This record gives sequence, structure tokens and C-alpha cells, in this order.
Amino acid sequence: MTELLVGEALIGEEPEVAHIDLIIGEKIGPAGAAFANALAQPRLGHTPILAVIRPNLPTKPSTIIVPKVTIRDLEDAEKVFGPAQSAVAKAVADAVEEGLIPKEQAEDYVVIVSVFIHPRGRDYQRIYRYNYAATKLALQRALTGFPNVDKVLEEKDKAVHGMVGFRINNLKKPPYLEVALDIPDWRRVEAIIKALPRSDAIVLEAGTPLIKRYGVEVIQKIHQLRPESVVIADMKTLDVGNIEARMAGDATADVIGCSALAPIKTIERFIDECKKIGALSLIDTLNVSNPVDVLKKLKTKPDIVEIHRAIDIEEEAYAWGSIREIREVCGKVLIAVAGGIRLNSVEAALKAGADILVVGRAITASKDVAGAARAFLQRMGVEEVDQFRVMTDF
Amino acid sequence: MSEEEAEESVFHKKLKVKLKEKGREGRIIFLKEYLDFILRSNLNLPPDFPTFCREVMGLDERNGFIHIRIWNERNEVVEFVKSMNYEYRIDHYD
Repeated sequence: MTELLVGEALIGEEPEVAHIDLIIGEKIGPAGAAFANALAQPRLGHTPILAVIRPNLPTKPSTIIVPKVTIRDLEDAEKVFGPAQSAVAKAVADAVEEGLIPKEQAEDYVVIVSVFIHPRGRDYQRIYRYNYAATKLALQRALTGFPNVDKVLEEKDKAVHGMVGFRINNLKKPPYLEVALDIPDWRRVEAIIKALPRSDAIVLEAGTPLIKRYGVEVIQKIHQLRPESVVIADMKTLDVGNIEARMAGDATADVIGCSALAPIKTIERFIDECKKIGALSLIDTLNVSNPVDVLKKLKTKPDIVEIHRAIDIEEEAYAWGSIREIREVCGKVLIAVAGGIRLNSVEAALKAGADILVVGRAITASKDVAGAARAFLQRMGVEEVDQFRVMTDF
Repeated sequence: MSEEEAEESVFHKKLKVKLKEKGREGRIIFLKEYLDFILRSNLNLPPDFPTFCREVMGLDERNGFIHIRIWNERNEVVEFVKSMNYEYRIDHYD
């Protein structure tokens, strides 16, 4: 065994749900030092205690329990020092009996178990059983090295934290349909959002007119209606890139758009700020004669490049020919195409290499918003399934 | 997706609400209660709240009712009037 192993597990239902974080390691080493320090330096409301199977029978390997939630009174203390303590002690002993922890090394190790007992938890049966199971699972995970890095990388963009309730979508599985909410009338926009199908493939754009009318706060309101959806703030920033990116980020935008007409310094500061706040940066090439030249000048490349034909010049041809060149300059980048995208141009756009199709009036001005959006998804070859999921076990 | 969501439409409608008092006072009570509803429900303030206030204060009163423009029935204003037991009905825009 290496010197210090870490395991975690969540088992059960509210309010008795058990959440265990644990460390197991050798007495000679950081785990042993932490064990000794914890026992020698108790803190008010979080007193570490030795896990005993029954009074006067501590478990092996020696284990201490540290309550995560502050113990306020005797009622709280009884839950931790009664069913939870006993469950943890039994789980550790059973792990030895079952061979998970080698019996001959039981004296060499120590275990530190951080337990969560909700103050509203009342049922001792459930507290015992959930904490027993969570401790066993956390031990097993610690000793088998679960999860490995590959598992974490595979799951990080798919999983949903149960207490968060929504997943941050990093747009890793194109194609996407970006519905541009350009109508500067909130009640109508609210109705459109509510009518759209719930699909991972749909992302919502707070269009520039909408933001100009109501301010960036409109992004938060969109997220209130669709917490699981990616919301793009089409800021069309031309100056003070970092300030505008921060404003949109503070208003919970997942993707923030800057104009490629802005000075290079502004775009770079915009992209840096997006990285800092964890949002994806989008550069909108509307009215830029040679977008590739602009992209070449940028030290840091954006996450998304939008090839945008203005509403006012929709009679002109699309400029999708530069997609290959943009990819060569930017490397890993998503390409969005915007400006008069209709059902009959979907296949050509995808064939040209587009990852995101930006559609506005063809959906928002439709008499059947949901039907129009579904027609686009279907034409894009995207199944209308919501992959929103909570992974609680493996 | 629920059947209700599947059949959602985005057409212009009128939410006709009977104010609890006539005139300016009734509108102020209505707006105060709407704000109270938003805050107590932990909702973000609607982005069009200032516009909405101006609109409500300026609407014609027809037999004690004001006619608010909405786009679908699953609307925050509709939720509010229901929860506060306002007398209301929803008509298609004519």
C-alpha cells in the first residue's frame, strides 16, 4: 500500500443520507501523523473520537471519526457517537474479515473517517445502515484506487452532482442547435423557452437586442427557466473585453461572445477573462473580411468561432469555405454558423464542418416553436434525448 | 416531456385580471403583491419588471379588469395571479 489512500462514498436517502470521506494509510507516514494530530487537537463541535464496535472495543485498524456537521447538542452527539460510530467501526472490521484490508497489516494502518449526519436525521436504523455501507464502499474505493484519472476525465462532463441538480455542459458532443433569442420582449422570450424541447443538443442564446434591452441579468432569468441549458451571452464586445466577459460570467453565462472587430488586445483580454471565470469564449466574425487573419494574431485562441452573416445582408452567400483554415489556426475549436440558417441549409452547414447551427427567427418566429426546433434537430441527425443523468454508483 | 409541454404554444394572449381595488391603488397593490411573490418564491426578478410596472399602471381598466399581454399560460404572472387568488381569465388576443 502507498502511504495515504483516499476514498469517498454517498449512500442512502435524505435526511439520514451518509456521506463518507476517508483516509487510510500507514501509521508511519502522513496518515498516522494526521490521526495523532486529530486526536490530540479536538475542535469544538467536531471532536474526533475512536470508532468502537461497542464501548471498550475499538475496531482495527484503529479508526477515528470526525463529524463534518457541527455537533450542537446531545441529540446530535448521540447520532454520531451511537449508530454512526458503531457502523463505521463494524465496516472497518468487516473489511479486514473480508480480506479487503490484509489482517496481518491491520496494526500497521490507521483510518480517518469524516462522517456527515444531517441534524434532521432521526432514524437510527437508517443512520447505521447507510454509514456502514458508505464506509465499506469508501474503503473499497480507496484500496482499489477508484476512480482512476481516466474515469474522472470520462465522467466529468457527463455527470450531475445530486445536490447541484444541473450539469455544466462544455459542448463536447456537437452538433448543437443554438436558438438565438433576439426578440427584445421578455414575456415572449419566456414563452419560447418554455415551448422548446428539453434536449442536450439545444443551447440558448441571449441575443444582443435582448441583453441591450434588459441587461445581462436576463441570462440568470433564462437559467432559472432552464438550469440545465447552456446559455450564450451574445455581448458583441468591442472594448473592455475583460469587464464585459466578467459581467456576463457573473450573470451565469456559459459561453460569452466578443466581436472579431474589436482590437486584438481587447479580444485577448476577453478570452483570458473567460478562461478565468470558467466560461467558453466565442468570437463572432460578423462583418470581418478576413477572420483567419484576426485569429492568427491572437496569442490565446477562442473556444468557439462564429461565422456570421448579418441579418441585413442575408441575400449574400454564406462564407463557410474558411472553416478548414480556421481549424488549422485555432486547433481544437468549435465552429458556429449564423445568419439566416433554414432547414434546407442544415446539411450544407454540417457538411462544411459546422458544429453549432445558430437559428433565430426560423424557430422563434414559428407558429410551432417546439415543432420547428424538433425539425432542425431531426435534420441535424440529433436524437431528441435528454442525457441529463445522476450517476450515483458504478 | 409532459403532454402539457409538448402542446405548448407561443401565441399572443390576454390575461384578464380583476384588481382588488379600483384605480391607481389597485394597481399598486397588484405590483406590490407580485414583487412579494417573486421574492418569497426565491425567483429572479423578471428582466422586464420596470416595463411591466409602467404597463400595469397605464393599462385601461375594463369592468375592474386589466388586460395583460402574455404569450403562454405557463407564465410567471399567471402563476402569481393563481397563487394570490385573483379573479382572472385567459383569452386569445383579438
